[in-house]
Amino acid sequence: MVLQLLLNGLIYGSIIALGGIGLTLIYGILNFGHFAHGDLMTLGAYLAYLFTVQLALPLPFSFVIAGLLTAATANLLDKILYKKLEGRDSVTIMISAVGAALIIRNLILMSWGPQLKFLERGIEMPLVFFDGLLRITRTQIMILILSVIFVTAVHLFLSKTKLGKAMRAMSDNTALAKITGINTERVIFWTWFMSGILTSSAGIFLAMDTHLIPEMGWNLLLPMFAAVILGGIGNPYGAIVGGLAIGISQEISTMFIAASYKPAVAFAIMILMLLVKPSGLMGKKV
Amino acid sequence: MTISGLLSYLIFFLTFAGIYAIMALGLNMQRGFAGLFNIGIAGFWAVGAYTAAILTKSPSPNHLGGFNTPIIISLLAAGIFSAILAFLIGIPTLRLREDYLGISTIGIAEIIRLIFTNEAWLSYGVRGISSIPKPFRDIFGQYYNLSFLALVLIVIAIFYYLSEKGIKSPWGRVLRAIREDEEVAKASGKNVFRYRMEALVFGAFMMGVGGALYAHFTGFISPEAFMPMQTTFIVWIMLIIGGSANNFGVLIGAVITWGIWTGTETITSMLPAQYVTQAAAFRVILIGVFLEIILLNMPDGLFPERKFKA
Amino acid sequence: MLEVNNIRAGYGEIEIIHGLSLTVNKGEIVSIVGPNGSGKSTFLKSIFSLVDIMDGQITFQNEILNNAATDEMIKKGLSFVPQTDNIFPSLTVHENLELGGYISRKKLKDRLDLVYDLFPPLLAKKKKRAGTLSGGQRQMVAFGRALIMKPKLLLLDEPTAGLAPMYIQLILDKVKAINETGVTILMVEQNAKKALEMSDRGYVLAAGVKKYEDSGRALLENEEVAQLFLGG
Ligand SMILES: Nc1ncnc2c1ncn2[C@@H]1O[C@H](COP(=O)(O)OP(=O)(O)O)[C@@H](O)[C@H]1O
Ligand SMILES: [Mg+2]
Repeated sequence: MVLQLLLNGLIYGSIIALGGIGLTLIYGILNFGHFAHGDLMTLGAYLAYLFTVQLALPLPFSFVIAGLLTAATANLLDKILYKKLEGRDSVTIMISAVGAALIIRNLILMSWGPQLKFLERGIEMPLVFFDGLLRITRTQIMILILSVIFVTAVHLFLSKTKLGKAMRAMSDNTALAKITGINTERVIFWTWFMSGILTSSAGIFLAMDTHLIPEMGWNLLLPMFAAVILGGIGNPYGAIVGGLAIGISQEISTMFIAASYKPAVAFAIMILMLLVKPSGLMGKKV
Repeated sequence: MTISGLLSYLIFFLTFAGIYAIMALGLNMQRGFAGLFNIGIAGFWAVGAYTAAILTKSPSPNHLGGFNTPIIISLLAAGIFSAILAFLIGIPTLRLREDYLGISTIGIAEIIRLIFTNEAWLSYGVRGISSIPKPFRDIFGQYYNLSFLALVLIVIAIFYYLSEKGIKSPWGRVLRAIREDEEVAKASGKNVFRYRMEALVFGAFMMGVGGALYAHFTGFISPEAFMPMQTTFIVWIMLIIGGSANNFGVLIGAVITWGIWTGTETITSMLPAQYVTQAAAFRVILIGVFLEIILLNMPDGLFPERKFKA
Repeated sequence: MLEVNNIRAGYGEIEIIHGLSLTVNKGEIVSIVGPNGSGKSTFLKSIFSLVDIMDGQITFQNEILNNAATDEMIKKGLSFVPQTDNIFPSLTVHENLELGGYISRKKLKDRLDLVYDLFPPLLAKKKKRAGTLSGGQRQMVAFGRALIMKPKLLLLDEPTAGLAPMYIQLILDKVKAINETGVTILMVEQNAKKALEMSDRGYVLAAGVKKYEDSGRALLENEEVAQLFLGG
């Protein structure tokens, strides 16, 4: 039971973590909460649905194209909205993100309707371990492996490449990054791009593990923000740890409270964190 | 349409616009004057609506109720419960940057929705609460809608008066000073947390009362009856179009926005029935694009904030 | 090397610097002193195009510098160390220094070695997050980041602000040492006496205008200056 919940939490947590990395970097670098992040995730999932199911293209190919298109959408939002609102107060920028979120979600609703959709047809037989104590599908194994690969790639990018270090630097101290001669526009562009790819991947994983609905990403926004705050705003490693912690706690919580209240767990953890240590477990900015 | 038909539609329209205007006045207190970020308006609205419904109904086997309280009490209680919720959410967030409040209000709105969906003993779950009493129906008879509009207008007048009075008082001056520069206000010894909390709570009180009026007017509420995020968003548009930190502007913004919103419904309702989902989504897209255009091109809205003498 | 001619600068509409001129010659240490809030930081920032310049001209090696892009200024040989928040706290010491070479990585390794030679304590803390260092060591990181591009002119804003007394002299000695490697220095300093002692020339600022300008020694001996600005 606990083992199964841990596993479910790990999968769910990886999805939150992948989305959270982009959310926290945008937060750190541009200094606002990107409330359309969840709906970008939904967009990625539905684009993958379009390519794999409707156009019958191979899943890996769809995965990449959906990621690129979601990234392009993220860059577009920055170009036509957030960049133009630069210098205005952060609430204005955030409400424009809420607007963007509603627009994206309703475009999806208009194009694909409100019904549940599935990326894969048929029911997959899970592999059973420990006399039925642990069940895991091949899809879930793949999600876990790919998540580890993604997180490792992000880590290598952030710690080894010039652009990655510049991203972390900007997230730390934007003014100093400018003084250092870092091309901040370029860094911002690639931050949106990378966030788009990651959040799209998270959305596709979620769709593979469960199903697609137009609210899927919006429902993950709160857990993602909770993960970001838990790990410290602007800290991508914090978002990964935070994401896993939130995911696992939500699943484990079902041993003690009704499963229908699962979404409240992320909220409760976030509020607790704000009361105890608002800068997050690994963070600095408040 | 006949003259009387037109008139009754107008009354209906103005009543809804008025209820939304109350929400917008509440948001203006929070965002306009205090700079607070509340995107969980639906949560406060729902708490107000359910409080009023549960308090005023006669006993029902389906959910909590049977208190038969008069409407004036239910309105006050709706405001108070909503205010208490705001107080609780303010404690962990108001000392921190504005985004935390925003995120937390989304969370609280979601939890409120979960509670009203799952706790059937309280609220009859997704089936919602129906036959919510319509106050004074017996007295006013066929003029009931008109009398309800009058009630809404009275509530607006009271909140408008209190808001304006508050904002022109020394209290309001400090509030705006905090919004402009928190550090300076802190340095001059102001208790920033307290002022923010008061604005948040007062704004939430208005939203709760607005929710109660909504419940009484429609007679039915359920967790999904009104789209939470959409509702919140429309109130924000009212504020932004009218002009943040200008109560009069916000009232005008409410009427204009409600006009556009219901106007798009009139157009999309002409579409064949199989397109009803698409049409509803399309309306939200339209109003979303409209908001972005306003944000980009009209930062101060129709009625910019008036400059008060210091 | 640097000529500032009758500059007016500030934030948006607010003018803080009201027509200030200053010269820095190659190889010098020049200090700007003055009371808190007199506009020293603003003035230094105006040279690095970090505030709005309303009027006047800045030339560096006979080229106009007004509103130049940051990477251009760095290429021309300027570096700036801000008064506060002058490191990337969550990056390692080594990453902080590397980023100093963001716009050109040619022979970065050699330049990094030079900085470690100048600040040996940093070598042992190479892999530590800069935010975990002591105040004095943070300042070394900040200097190091600015020195990676081998600037001709280094702008330092209060390098000893907030440091423990034991570090103040150490950091000022480092400034001297940097100068001796051929880097010209323009710095703002709160420890006016100490700064003027080691400076070739100094400027005294008050309320955005220049009050005195002389050699460091002469300013120290000037009784008026001593009374008004150096605390007797
Ligand atoms: N970002 C800013 N916006 C507006 N005014 C500022 C800003 N930074 C500093 N000032 C004002 O400019 C004046 C000079 O400040 P500063 O240059 O920091 O002085 P100093 O470095 O000599 O202590 C002060 O009155 C300060 O309030
Ligand atoms: Mg200064």
